[in-house]
Amino acid sequence: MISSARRRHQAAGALVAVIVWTIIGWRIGSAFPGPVKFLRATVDLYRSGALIDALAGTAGRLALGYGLAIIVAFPLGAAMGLSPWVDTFVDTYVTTLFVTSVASLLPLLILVAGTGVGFYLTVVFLFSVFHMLLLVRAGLTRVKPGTRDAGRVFGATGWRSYVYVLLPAALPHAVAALRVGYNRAVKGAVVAELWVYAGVGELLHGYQRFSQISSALVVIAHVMLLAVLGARLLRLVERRYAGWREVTVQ
Amino acid sequence: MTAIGGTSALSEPTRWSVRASAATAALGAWQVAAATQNVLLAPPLAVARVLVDETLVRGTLLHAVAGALTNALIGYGLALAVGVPLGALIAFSTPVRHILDPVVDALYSTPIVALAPVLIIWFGLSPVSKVILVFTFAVFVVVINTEAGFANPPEGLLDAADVYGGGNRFVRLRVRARYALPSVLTGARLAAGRAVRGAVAAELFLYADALGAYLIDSGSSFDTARLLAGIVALTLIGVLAVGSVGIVERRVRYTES
Repeated sequence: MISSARRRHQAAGALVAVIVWTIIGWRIGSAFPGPVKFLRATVDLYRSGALIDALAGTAGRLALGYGLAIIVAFPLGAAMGLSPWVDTFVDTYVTTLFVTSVASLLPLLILVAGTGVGFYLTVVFLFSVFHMLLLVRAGLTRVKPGTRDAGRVFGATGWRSYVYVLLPAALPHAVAALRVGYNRAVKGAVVAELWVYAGVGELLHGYQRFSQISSALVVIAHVMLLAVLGARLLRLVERRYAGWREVTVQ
Repeated sequence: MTAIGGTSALSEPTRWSVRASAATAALGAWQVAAATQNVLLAPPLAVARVLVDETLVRGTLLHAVAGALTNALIGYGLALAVGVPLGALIAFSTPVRHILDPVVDALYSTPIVALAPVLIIWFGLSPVSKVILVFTFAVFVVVINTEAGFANPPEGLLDAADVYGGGNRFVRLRVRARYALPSVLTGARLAAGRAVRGAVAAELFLYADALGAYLIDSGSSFDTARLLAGIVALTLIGVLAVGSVGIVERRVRYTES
């Protein structure tokens, strides 16, 4: 009943949006293409293969930096969650770099890392690693003492308390960290590509130069899809492995 | 709460000495790397000298940052003015929530910078496009947190309002608004950081005013001391912006227990 109401509302909303979009597109003209022009541009871009190639490149660069960030963030975040010494030491860097605008580092990174794979790797890594570190740490520090005590009562002491109590209790945050890290990584990949005119960034710059607004919008829509579909997928993982406790992330 | 891990296990002096050693280690490694590894990397002392010079003596950097912050402030104000009512509307109206929740979620996870080329086509190389970019950077986090604040008020609060004669809608609304305030301010705090980052992105990806020119020129002339001084200044601004909203937020925090 609830879901059918939701579906009805969404269908109505989509219908209104398309109508408004059509009217605005029709009134403003070439600067704001309507749905028909948008669809035509989508078909063209798929036919030429430019979009698929660019997106594949973006996804590859994204995967590299995201992978590295996961490899670093999970052990380090866990160490921060378990040892106050490590936590205090590493947190000094994390809090500083967390508030730094990674975009402002771009002119520096390109000097240090060049324009090759190393550049994308660094930018995507820097975009996603800090959010994941903080979430993994939060997962371990927020395990309630009661949970641990209950484990001890049932014989989970020493290493067992880590394997059977602490790590499972931190799982919801860990999966949330994967999702948030992915979102950040997509942002990092797009920022890096816009800066060096590669992949999706190259396409967008090209369409901007010739004011091909529908093609630019199609590319943006696909970047959104890349971000949203990945996040959806990871949310499914989250429901599967951590469904008992939803982590809200700010 | 933090039985294992957490910083509460260390005493205050120990904590600060660990922090100081972390900072020293980083500066030392930076100094060594600058001296031996990469000729392009400026050593920390040179950066500090340039930072003082560019902000206090010549004021180039100060001027540049002030220009970008103006855009950040206008966009931030707009984001609050639109985001808070919209978030409340989503929380109060079920149809609106059904329609807009997925949209806001999708836009929140989208790389906003990708909009920069389109903004240039629509609004040209003007401050308007910069303010719109900042606004888009900041608005969704406000909407999401406002919605969360208004979504589930504890029944006890509303019952208490009823008991004390505040059964009418106006009082209930005021109770809910007061309950939502900390969450709204969390959104405002996070948005402040995003607005600063949006303003930096606008400088780099739309067109360069003083700040963008400062960063890009320093980079392309390989003057990393000047470049790093700019980055340090921006980081300080970010900390300040987030911190000042955070102070307000802590003052109004409602604790249930």
